[in-house]
Amino acid sequence: MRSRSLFALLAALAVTVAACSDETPTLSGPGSFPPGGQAVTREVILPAARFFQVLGGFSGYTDASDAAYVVVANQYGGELNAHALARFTGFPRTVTYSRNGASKTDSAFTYQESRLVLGVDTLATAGRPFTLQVWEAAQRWDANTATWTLAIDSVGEQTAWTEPGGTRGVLLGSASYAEAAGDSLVVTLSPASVKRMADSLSAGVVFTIAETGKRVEFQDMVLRFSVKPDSAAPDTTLNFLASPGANLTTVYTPEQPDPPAGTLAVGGIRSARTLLELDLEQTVPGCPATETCAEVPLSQVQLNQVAVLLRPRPVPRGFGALNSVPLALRLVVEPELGRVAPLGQTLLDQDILFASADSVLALPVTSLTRTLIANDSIPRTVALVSEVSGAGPPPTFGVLFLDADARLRIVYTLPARRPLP
Amino acid sequence: MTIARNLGTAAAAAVLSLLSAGQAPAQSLLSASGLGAPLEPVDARARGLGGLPLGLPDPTMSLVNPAAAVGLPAAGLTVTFQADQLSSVAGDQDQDFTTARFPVIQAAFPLGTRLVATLGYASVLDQNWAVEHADSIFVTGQQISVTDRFRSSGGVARLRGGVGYHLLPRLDVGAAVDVYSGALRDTVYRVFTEGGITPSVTGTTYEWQGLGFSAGARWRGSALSLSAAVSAGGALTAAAQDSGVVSKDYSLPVQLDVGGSARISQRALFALSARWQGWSAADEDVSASGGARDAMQVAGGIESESLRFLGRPVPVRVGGRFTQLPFRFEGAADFVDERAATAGIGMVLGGGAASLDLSGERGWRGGDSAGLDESFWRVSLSLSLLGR
Repeated sequence: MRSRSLFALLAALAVTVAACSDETPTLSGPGSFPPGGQAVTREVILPAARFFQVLGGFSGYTDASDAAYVVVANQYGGELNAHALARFTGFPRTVTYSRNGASKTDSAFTYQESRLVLGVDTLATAGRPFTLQVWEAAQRWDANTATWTLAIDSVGEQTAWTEPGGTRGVLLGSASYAEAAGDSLVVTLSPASVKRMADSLSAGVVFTIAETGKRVEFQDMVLRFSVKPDSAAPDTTLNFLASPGANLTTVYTPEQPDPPAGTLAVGGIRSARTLLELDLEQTVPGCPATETCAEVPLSQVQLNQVAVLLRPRPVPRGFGALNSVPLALRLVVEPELGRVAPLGQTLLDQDILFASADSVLALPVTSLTRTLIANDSIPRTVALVSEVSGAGPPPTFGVLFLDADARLRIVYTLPARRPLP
Repeated sequence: MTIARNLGTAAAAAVLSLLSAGQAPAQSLLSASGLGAPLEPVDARARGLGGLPLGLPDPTMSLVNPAAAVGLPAAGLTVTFQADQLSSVAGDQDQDFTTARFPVIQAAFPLGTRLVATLGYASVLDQNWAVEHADSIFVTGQQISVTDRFRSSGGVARLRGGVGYHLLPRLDVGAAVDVYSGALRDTVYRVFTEGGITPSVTGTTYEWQGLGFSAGARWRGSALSLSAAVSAGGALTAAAQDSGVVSKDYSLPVQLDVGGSARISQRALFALSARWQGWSAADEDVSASGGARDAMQVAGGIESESLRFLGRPVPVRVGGRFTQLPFRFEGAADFVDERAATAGIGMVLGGGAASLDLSGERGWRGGDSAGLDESFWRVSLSLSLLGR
């Protein structure tokens, strides 16, 4: 009994201690730091010659049929012409409706005036206002292989357009997009136009811009149409949706430009990439900027931020990126394979979006630098690519050109050691 | 049965020791000065008597006087818990903070009727403190906000092993060896509050090492008891554990303690002690942080057993203390003095197998010329177990 009481006392003591919270007495103000007890951060900028080598640039990994968007342009940048091609599916052959509580099916019906609704990517659009024209396609085409000059370019069949950019038939409709319009554009289509689009022999439609100097990107499109069954009451209309699905592509001319010598290319409709060799194991001054001292390896300082700085260059032929370009740095284990070298893991500290208004691109490679310092067996070759997450459709139509005269910015903190009291 | 009970109390002590080791309490802004804030290895009974380090007539476990445990009837263990609440003003900064710690754990093992072995562990210097400052620096082409923080954590502790011997009918003597240990960890942080820049954290660790010796004696008369103890050592070494820093030695002070107690009535005891610590030996070692001085302490109090509860005497204690602290605060003109008024109460439990002592203190440190003003409330609780 007595032992139990003593144990209870000890336990109570322990609980008492555990319940207490300790607080560290804390001084404030720069004058209260002991000598050497405050961090010193420095920034150095290294030239390309010390860390950066371009191994090669490659392109053509994707084409317009891979993109989740279509582009329509008319002499944008003085050169770029682009038309969107779409073939809508989902038109009914018969319609079913209810009359007096009974279900009726009728193969005879009449199309009503309908609406073609297109989602405009306002950030990827240059030149407002503009007028979108919807033409009947007068020639069969293949969404996977169509180009500006060829309607079909598959194995065993190669058919040129009668009219480059998509042979056009009658004008089905048009709509104006105002200077300050929203993110959708509605083209009103007559019943006759919808009927032509719904014809089973229809080759689809061709989208063009009427005015020159415009480039417009559409994220999606849908046709909202109505029909009136012949056997139904006069006030009966049935609503349907038709969409192009995979029968959607962009044909354009000229081809995405290759970068001039001394320039890196990344992204665009053709998914350009550049292989680089980065030597991130650098040395930096090992003392505050007010002192002179020998350089020390990065392993002897605390890395706060390491970034490769690149300056954008103008892109010719109207292929400049209008919206933000997502960028990634991927490890390349076998750079000798060149164009077909497989890409490894992503290496940037975080996802990077390069906006067209940015004057400098900073690729954060702090984690990569730390890894390379700790493990010298990791390959130094990387590929600069444009992707959202892993391989996929080209994120942007426009390509990014960057000056190869890169800079390496290293922000680091010197080890702080106060002398003992 | 006795062995089993001793093992049980030892296990409990081990648990409490681990709790203590896991904490990093600080008791004063003075932790930032010199080698840190000195800590007293005394239990709650002594704290109730002003912090009296020695001088009581009855056998007690002490980390000051190796002879004090002579006469204990059985193996024993004392664990002391201490909680502080402080208000501190230094310059234009004021702050309140709380701490909790086990400042001292002691055990004694009688070996026959004349000899007793003792083992104890106590905090000696507290080195927990921090500085924080918000600033901005120009990097990556912009002015970026940063928060700088320096954190010192750790302290010096002392493991003492000793023996006491009943030399003459009224005279007990003792000797002990002190092994100093502990660690000091400096951590420097810079946190960038914008710009997506990774924070930096660097640290430096020193381990404290040292050896000291102590001797003491107690003379017990019928109404008067006198005690004295001296301790000294060579050097306290801060052994660097990282490259880029160097180890350093500090002279350990000679410490002299004298004290005595007199029975002033049948149920009342008056006790008084004085201490001198030769910290000036380390003055040159810590000159960069303000130097060190020899420090005096006078403590005393009265213990009365007039109060009874359930037929048993309940000791009631009052006391006071004046202490000169050895290190100067942040380049202030004067060193810091401490004054405290204390009170306490005791209770015997389990037919004498255990005792519980509780004390409270109200204290003040510093002054205008000392660079800081601190006031504190301190509660101490000691549990002593005897294996009989």
